[in-house]
Amino acid sequence: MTLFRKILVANRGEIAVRIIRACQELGIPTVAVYSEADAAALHTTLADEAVCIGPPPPLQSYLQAETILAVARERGCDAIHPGYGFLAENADFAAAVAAAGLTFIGPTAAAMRAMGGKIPSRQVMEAAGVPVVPGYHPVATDPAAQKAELAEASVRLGYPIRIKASAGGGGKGMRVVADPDRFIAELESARREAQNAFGNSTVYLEKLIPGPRHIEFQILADHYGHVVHLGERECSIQRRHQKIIEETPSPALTPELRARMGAAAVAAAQAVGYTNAGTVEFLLAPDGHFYFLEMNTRLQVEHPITEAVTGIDLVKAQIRIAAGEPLPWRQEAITWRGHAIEARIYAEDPAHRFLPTTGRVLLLSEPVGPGIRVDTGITAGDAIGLYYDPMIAKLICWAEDRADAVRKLDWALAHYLIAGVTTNIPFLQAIVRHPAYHQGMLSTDFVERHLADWQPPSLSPPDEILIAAAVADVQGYGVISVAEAMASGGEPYNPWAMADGFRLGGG
Amino acid sequence: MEFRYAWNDGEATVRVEPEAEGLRVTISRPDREPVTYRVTVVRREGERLVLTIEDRPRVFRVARDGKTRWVAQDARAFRLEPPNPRGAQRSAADGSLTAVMPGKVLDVLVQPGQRVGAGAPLVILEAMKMELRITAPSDGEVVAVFVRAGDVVNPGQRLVEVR
Repeated sequence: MTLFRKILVANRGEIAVRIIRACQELGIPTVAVYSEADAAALHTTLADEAVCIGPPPPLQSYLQAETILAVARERGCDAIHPGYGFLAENADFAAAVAAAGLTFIGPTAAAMRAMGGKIPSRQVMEAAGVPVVPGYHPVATDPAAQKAELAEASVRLGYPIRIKASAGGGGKGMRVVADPDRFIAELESARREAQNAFGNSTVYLEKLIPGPRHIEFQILADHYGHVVHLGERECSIQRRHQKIIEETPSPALTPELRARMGAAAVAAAQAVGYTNAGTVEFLLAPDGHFYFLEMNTRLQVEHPITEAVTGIDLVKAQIRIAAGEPLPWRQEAITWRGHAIEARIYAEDPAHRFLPTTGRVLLLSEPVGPGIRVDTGITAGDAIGLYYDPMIAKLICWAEDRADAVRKLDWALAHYLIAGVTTNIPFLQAIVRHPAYHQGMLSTDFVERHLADWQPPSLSPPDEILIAAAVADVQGYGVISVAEAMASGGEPYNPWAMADGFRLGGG
Repeated sequence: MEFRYAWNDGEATVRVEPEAEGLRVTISRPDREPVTYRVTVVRREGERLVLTIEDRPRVFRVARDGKTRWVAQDARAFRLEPPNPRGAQRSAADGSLTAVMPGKVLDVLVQPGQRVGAGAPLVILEAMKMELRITAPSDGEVVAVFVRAGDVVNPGQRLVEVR
C-alpha cells in the first residue's frame, strides 16, 4: 500500500533530515523547502525536490504558511510533515492544510487548539481528572484588569510563583518570581516577551514546585480511538528552561508510578480526541506527586531516546497513522529495553554566558559505534548563522543499563569533533561526569545547583598540536572554498605557488 | 621556516627545518627550554595529516579560516591565531575601541569602572551576518561605554574605552 504520493517537509536542520530519511525508507518522494541561507544545507540536498521559499529570517521563509502550502500543491504533494518548531503547533496551518485537501502529519487543528494554549489545556485536564499544578488563569481580557487580577491571585497561591506564557514554550515569556514586590515588573516583562515570541501576550500563574523532575510521556494515537503510551523521558537537565540532556527510563520511576503516569497521559490524549504522536509533560515532585504541565502536539526533539528503548520508529509511525493505518500494538505489546540518553549539541559558547556562536564548521567528525546515534543537519563547510535555533546536533547513546549508557555518552562526547564553531560539548561532558548525574539525582535546577560557576577548562595545545600546525603551514592548508578564502582576506592555497617550498616526508 | 602561534593565554614559536630523513621541529615557549622533535610526514589528504613524531604515528586534522588555524587530534580541537591579533577592532591612541564595519550591537558585557583582563569580551557586534566579539586589547579598566544593545554603529564609531 502506498502511504502517500509525495510529502513536503516544512522544516530545516536535523529534524528535516530525520523525516526525509524516514520517507526514503518508506519509498515516499519528498519535497524540501529552504531559505536562501539553506541552499546548500543537508536537508535541501537530501530531498528529491527542493524549493526556495524566501530570505533567511524564519518569518519570511519557514513560517510562510501560505507559500509552503502553495509549494505543496504545485509539486503534487498529498501530505505535509511539519517537524517541530516553526509551523508544527500552528492550528491555523494544520486547518489550512486539511482544507486544501492535503494531510497534515500530526494532530487535528481542533486537538491542537484544545491543547496548544496552556490555559485551555489545564481546564481540559482538570475535567478529565488529570492532576495539574495549582495555578491561576486570568478571566479579564483587558490588560490593566488582568494585571490587578493576577497580582491578587499571586498572593493567594503563595510565593515563589511562576509566570508562564499561554502560547509559550522554550522558556520564552516565563519568569520565576520570589519577591512579591517584583511581581508587576516581571509580569510586564513576561508579557512583552510573550507578545514578541508568540504574538500573544496572555500569561498565567503557577505555583512553583521546588526541585521537581521534568517527566514526559510519549503517546501515539490512531484515528480509531486507540491510544498507547511509549513510556517516559526524563528531561530534568535544563539550562534556562532549555532541555540539554534527556534520558529514558527515568531513574525516579517505579513500574507502578510509570503505569499510573502513563495512564494519565493516555487519558489526557483521549480527553481531546488526540491523534498522531504527542507528548504529555508532567512535573514530578520529590514527594512522588505528579502534575500535568502541558501537552506538546508534535514530535519532540528528544524522540530518539524513546525509539532506542522501544524499537519503534516514531516518524514512520506518524506517517502511517496519518495515512489512516491503525496502531499495530496494544499497550501490553510496548516493552522497553536498556537505557538511552540524548545530549543536545548547541552552537553556543559556555565560556561567555552561552551566547550563540557563529562561524563555519571546518572540521567535523561524529562518533560511531554500537548504540550511538547522531541526528544532525550540518555537514563540514556549513555556516552557522544567527537566524535559526543554535541546536546543531543530537547525540543519542543506548546501552543495557544507565551506568553503561552514561559511560558511552561520555566516550561519544569526547570523540565528537566540531571545529570552527564553538559548541557546548565541554559543558555536556561536565554534566555527564558529575557525581550527582552518575547517581541519577536529577532535577530541573541541576545546572544551577551543581554547575553554576562552571568554566570550560583552558587548555594549552600540546607540542604535537603545534608540530601539526607548523607542518600544515609549510604545506598549505586545504581551504574550504576559494570564495571563502577570499572573503576571509587570506590567499587561497595554491600548490603551484609553492616554488620556494621544500619537499616533505622524504619523497 | 618559523611560525608563531597564540591561543587564549599563551603563545609559542615553532621552527621547521628540513633534514635528510624528514623534519626537525623545534618548539619554544616563553616558560620552557626549546624542545626539538624528529618528524616525518606520512600522508596528507585534504584536512587529514598523518605524521610520525619521534617514531610515534599520529593523526591530525587541520583547517584554516582566514588567519585562524584549527588543529585537532582525536576529537580535541585547538584554535591557534597569529600572535597579537586585532581582528575587527583597533585600539586608538586614547584607548577606545572603534567599530571597523557597520553593524548592530547585540550585547554590552561590561560597565564603566569594571576591570578587565586582556582578551575579555566587551561588546558583541553583529556585522555582515557574523557575530563579532570586541575584546580588551590589554588589561585595564573600562572608563566609558558609548553604545547600548540594539544600537546600529558605523565604521569609526567608538564602542568602549579601556585604559
